[in-house]
Amino acid sequence: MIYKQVNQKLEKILGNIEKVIIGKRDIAELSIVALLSGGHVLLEDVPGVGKTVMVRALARSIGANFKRIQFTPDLLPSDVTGVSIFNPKEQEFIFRPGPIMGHIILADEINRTSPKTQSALLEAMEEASVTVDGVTRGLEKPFFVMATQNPIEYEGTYPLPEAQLDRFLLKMKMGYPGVDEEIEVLHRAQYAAPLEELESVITLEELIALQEEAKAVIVDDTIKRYIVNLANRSRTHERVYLGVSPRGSIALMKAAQAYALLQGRDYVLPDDVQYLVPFVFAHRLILKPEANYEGVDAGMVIHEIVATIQVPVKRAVT
Amino acid sequence: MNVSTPLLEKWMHVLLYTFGLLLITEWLRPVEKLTDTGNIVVFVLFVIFSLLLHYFHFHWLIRCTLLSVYIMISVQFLHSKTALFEFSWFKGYLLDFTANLSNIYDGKWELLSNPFRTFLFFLLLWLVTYLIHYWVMVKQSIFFFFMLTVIFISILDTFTPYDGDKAMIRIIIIGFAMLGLLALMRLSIQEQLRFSRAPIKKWILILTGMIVISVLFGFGAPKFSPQWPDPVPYITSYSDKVMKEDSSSTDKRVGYDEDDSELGGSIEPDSSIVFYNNAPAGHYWKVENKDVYTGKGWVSLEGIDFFTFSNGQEMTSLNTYDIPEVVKADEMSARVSMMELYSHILHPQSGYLKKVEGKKGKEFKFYKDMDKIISEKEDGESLLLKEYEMTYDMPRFDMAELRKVTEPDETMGVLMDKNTQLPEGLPNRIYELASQLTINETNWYDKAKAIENYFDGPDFVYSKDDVAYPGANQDYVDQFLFETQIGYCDNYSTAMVVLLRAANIPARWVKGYTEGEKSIYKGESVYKVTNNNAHSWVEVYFSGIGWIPFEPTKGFTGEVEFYNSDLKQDDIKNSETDTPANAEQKKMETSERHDTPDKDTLASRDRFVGSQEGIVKWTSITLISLLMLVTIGYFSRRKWIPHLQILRYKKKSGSHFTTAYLLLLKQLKRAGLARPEGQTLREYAAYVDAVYGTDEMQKLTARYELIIYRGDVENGEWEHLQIGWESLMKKTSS
Repeated sequence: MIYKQVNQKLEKILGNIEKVIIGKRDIAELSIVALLSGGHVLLEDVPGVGKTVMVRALARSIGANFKRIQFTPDLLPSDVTGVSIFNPKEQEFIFRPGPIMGHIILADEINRTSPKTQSALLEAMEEASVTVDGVTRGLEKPFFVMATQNPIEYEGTYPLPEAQLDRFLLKMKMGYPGVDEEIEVLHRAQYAAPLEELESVITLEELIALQEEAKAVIVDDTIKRYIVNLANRSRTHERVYLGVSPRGSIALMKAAQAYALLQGRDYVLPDDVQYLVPFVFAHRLILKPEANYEGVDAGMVIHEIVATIQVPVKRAVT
Repeated sequence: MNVSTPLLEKWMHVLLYTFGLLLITEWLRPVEKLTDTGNIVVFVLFVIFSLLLHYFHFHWLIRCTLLSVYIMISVQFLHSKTALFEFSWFKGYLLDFTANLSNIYDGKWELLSNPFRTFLFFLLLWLVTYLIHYWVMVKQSIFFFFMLTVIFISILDTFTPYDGDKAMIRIIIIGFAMLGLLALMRLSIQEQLRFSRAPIKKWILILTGMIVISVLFGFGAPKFSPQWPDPVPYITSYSDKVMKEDSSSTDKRVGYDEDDSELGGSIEPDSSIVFYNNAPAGHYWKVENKDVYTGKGWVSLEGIDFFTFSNGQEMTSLNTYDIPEVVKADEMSARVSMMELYSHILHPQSGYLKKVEGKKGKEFKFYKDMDKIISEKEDGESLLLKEYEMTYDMPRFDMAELRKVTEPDETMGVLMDKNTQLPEGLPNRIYELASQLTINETNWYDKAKAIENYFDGPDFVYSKDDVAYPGANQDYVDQFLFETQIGYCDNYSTAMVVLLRAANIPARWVKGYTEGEKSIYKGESVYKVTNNNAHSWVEVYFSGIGWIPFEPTKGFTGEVEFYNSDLKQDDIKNSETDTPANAEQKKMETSERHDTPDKDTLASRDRFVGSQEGIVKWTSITLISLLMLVTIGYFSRRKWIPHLQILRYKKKSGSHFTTAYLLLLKQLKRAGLARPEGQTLREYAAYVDAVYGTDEMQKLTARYELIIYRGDVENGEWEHLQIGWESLMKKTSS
């Protein structure tokens, strides 16, 4: 293949993850894209398809600190952020950090908890810091949240408002493995507990360096214009009630940079953009009610937009 | 086990070419049966040979040469008795060829020689074999030819003795087999399938089954009896009817015909010579006039009022010769040599004949009312004179005198009655038109001129073809004036007479010949008058002057010379009454007659028109060929543009990879591989490479991406990429 290039370090991570998760390379790649561009991922999926394993594998591969928060209706914001406890011995309050104080966080079933607790998480994601008792504490870098939503249970849930969804860089579905893949999953479950054997393949410092590298990936003006055209079209599309905000355009560009790096390139191609558009834009679009009645979903609208917007094949400025 | 694709294709091609050959032979079979074409084997061999050359992919030059040689040898074999290697036949054949080319150019298809016909037939077959090759190999679709064959055979079966029953079954089998195989071929090419033996077997088995079942079903199934009566008897009876009508009245020959009671219909040209005359100046020749308009044509009241004069008698002594003083005249004499014999004597102008003398002439009867002279023997039987001489005056009329006549005088009672006759029930609009045309004129001459000029208008078209007959209840003139406005001399002259009569001006309808063409007869310069010169025109009676001819027919200038004795005084008036074009025309006419009395104006005009037609013809041929070239060039641009670009870029130095790449995109679009708007270059390149079976496009694209999406500066990549670019450009044009 002519195009087949990879970034060696990132490929190592992917290889590591693939040791424990079978046939989910795309999800692993997208997670790395989010991790590299400093964004967070919303996974909408049923339990038991390997979300936790994947995030833990990712965390182990980069030697990062992994935390899991199981969101329940009675979870309080302080259960996420941490709390100051009075130490009678020392006669002072000591801060006991909450589970958010980690590198890689799995926020499981985020829609089960109250909006108050949700917003504590979302604020932490946005600001990369938490404020407890008037003291703002920065979070460690890298900081990556993978939140999950259960799409089939609606009783007693607090669905995330669409505006809040904007804070996730990517939204994706894991899906079930194929038959052969599932057989392989069973095989591995029988003979090995591979997750525990995973070694880290890069250091956190190296990861941070890679994040910097992703920022430096060249995005030509023609590509920027292409991204803006896509976003613009989403705002004028006849089925869309609310289109993609400029934050969405930025997200798409950053994700494309990270994806290009993952592909071993130092420049972004329209192909990168096209590949990522559904993951970046789908959860940022609010369709008109009639579109929902007609069975049109955001994925279809995005597909149509991508097919109709002219891919740049000449330099914008010559 | 896989069959290698080339082997499969080879077999497929052999099969398809064979079927193509069989289809062509279905076209040749009836040719052998229905025409007198013999030796059909030679032509079948030619088709086989041509298809073989296609199959083995011979270079087109070799193919053309070999086939030309085959054609030459066959033509020689079929039509020449000389031995093959005596090349004398070749020279003869070349001469024959050029002669036939000119025949084709003149449209004389019936004169083509047999060798040339054979040659043309070979060319046609050559074309068909090429088309078979094109449909099978390039288009992979034979449906059009298959359908044509079916239609061809069914038409032959219906309308000729050829029995197409078996042919139809054969064609259906061949056609279905070809359609099925080509479908498989298209599938394998489009989807880039590689077949193993089993599916092909399956395909062929199913195909065979389908053909067998459909043929058996079609053959054995009960069939409807014809849903409408056999069209052939109807068509033939209809065409017979038409032919009969043709021969009786629809298409008349131009020529002198006594019966004018039913005018109308087209006329066929007839250039057979009627007579020669050596008159010093060309003028019209009159036979007779007719007075009674029936609404369909003209009849004459059989004249009783005649007098007799003898051969060579001076007529000035008779009272028939009356030339008024106001008419100037030049004496002329002419010898008339008849090629078609009639009893009537051709004469130039009524009333101005001085003497007629035939070698064997005896007596002449002059019917005054009809203005017709009949040559007779002593016993009163008509005599056909072969040659006669005559002396006559050629008049010139003074317009000033003519303009003085504004109404009939009292002496004209009978004449007025007779020459203003119109049938009852003549449509009113003719009267309205007549008064509308003449309302602004005061005298008869200007009124007559106004009506004459009316026919010069753009609405009227001169044509001998497509001229209608009036309907059963329709007036001949009414139809011409208000409906068709297409016609020849009879239409124009009759219409003018009727309009004049409707305006109460005495007028009559004259038949005869125009002056004809200059020619040489028995070593003498003469006028040659043919049946094509048969003509009819109009005469108007002016009291005190006599019958004055007018020429309403479009494109004819008339023969009579008018002058104006009041010219100086009447200058202004003249220019008012005559349209400028008319004045111009008259002036030209006058001067020509004065300067060169024997000049043949009509012939010279014909030459002029002829040379103009030549220019128009060649200009249009050039323009059409240019247009065709441009069209062909435009539609085949996919073929030639890449080669041009390759040459251009070979010569170019420096960095121009970007422009070359964009050109390639354009060319790919022309080749039918347009990139959808939303497709990225990378996906597109993969698609293009899949189509052409290369990896060049992806290589080029990878480099191009760096330049446009990474902002790399073009630097020396052209040399590395040029070969790939050229090979792709060539691929798109093949």
